[in-house]
Amino acid sequence: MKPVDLHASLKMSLTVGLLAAAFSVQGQSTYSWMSPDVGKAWDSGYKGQGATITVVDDFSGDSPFSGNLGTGGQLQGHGDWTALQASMIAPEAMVVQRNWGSEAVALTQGRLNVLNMSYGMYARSGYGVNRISWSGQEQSIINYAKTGAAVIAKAAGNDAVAVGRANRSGNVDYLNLALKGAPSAIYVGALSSNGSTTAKASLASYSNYAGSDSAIQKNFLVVGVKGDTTGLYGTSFAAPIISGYAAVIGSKFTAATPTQIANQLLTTARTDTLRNYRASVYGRGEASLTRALAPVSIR
Amino acid sequence: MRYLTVFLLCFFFPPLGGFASVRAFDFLEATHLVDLRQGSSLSARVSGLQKYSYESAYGLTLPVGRWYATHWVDVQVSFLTQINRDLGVIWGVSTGEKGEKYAIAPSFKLGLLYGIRSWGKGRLTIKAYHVFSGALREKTCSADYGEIAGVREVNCRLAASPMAPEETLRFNFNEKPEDRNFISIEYRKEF
Repeated sequence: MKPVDLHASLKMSLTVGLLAAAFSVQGQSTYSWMSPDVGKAWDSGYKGQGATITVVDDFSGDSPFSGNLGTGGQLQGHGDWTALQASMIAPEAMVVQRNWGSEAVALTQGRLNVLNMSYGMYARSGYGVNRISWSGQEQSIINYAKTGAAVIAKAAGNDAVAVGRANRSGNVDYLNLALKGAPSAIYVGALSSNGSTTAKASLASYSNYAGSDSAIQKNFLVVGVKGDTTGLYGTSFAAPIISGYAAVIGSKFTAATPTQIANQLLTTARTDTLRNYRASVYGRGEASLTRALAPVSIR
Repeated sequence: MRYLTVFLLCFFFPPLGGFASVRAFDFLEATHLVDLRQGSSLSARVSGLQKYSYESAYGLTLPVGRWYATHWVDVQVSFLTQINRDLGVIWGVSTGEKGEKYAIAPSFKLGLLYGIRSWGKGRLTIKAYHVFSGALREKTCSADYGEIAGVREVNCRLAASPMAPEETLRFNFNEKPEDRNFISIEYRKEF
């Protein structure tokens, strides 16, 4: 069977939608698009120190768009936005901007590595994942996810389909499929708001969902993407939140492995903040930084 | 509590012999209660935590504040025993208090009050004392973080914070009474 040539068949697709919206700053330390969880971490001075977040994205600046994450309205490229967002969640993490390329992504030795992937690799549906000839970049990321060398936060996609299923154009995000079953990979879907027990959140209309495959469900999380506040819509802006959370958790549990950190986020996710929770939609639930930092029991 | 017991024995068993009874009588005549209170700044610090709780990793409420409740709040009593017209000894005791995860040790206070009649109708008074013991100390907790970090020794109140478990131990209460070294100089003049 002939392998599929990535460069010929796959198209990188940014998982982003654009809309302009007014922005309001809620407080001095955190921003209104963030979950209140983040403020608690900041108050204690733990902001992701000791972690490296490598944002693999488009940093060419060729297709800028406007938004406002609370630092003032800006016009910048997709990668600049996702990197900025991750650095705002975990300001003391080292954020590395890695422009799309074909070379393997390097990890930082001696630190927790988190890779943010706010993009997909699309091709016509119907190929087996093992037929894909990945570039060095994607192959390295897939390997890191499978060996647990780094936490991989992967935007679930904006086609409003189950992860791994074809979109309306008949294309599938093969990167999602390649990460299936990888212990340190997390698919990140978008909610239209941050959920609470009194104001439950729903999946954003554009967001891909977990679907019926239990292997996808168990590595699927959702977070609020407040596009109405920031002007930035899409699961592209869900993944950096998880990347930042992973860095903050790593700064508390300094000896934890990437797989343990991914599992901590997955096993402590909340379902009581979601409207009509179902694993096939929300996977493990809404990520909760507060719970991920808390003990199971104490005496 | 043991200090208080010694003090009470002095009061209630004075006639144990001629010399002892005379001394006890003099002592009682010369001794005055100057302060009796329940609670202290250290007590208040702990009692403010009694309703504190946080969620576990799986959403259960962990009411850690109950470990800072007590059945007995620290009582402090102070006396002044007058040695002569210008000199007195300040002394006192406190009972201390304890909860499941903290203890305020009993204390003993000892000091002097010295008055100097000076120019005109003025009077200079120097008061100084030291409080021995009486420190607030907090016990650690054992927190189970599950797969990610296992069982760790932590500050009970900060186990769910973003701080590293070992880092939280730096914030355990270990404080001496605020007024353990006290000195005041007062000058009073009548017009």
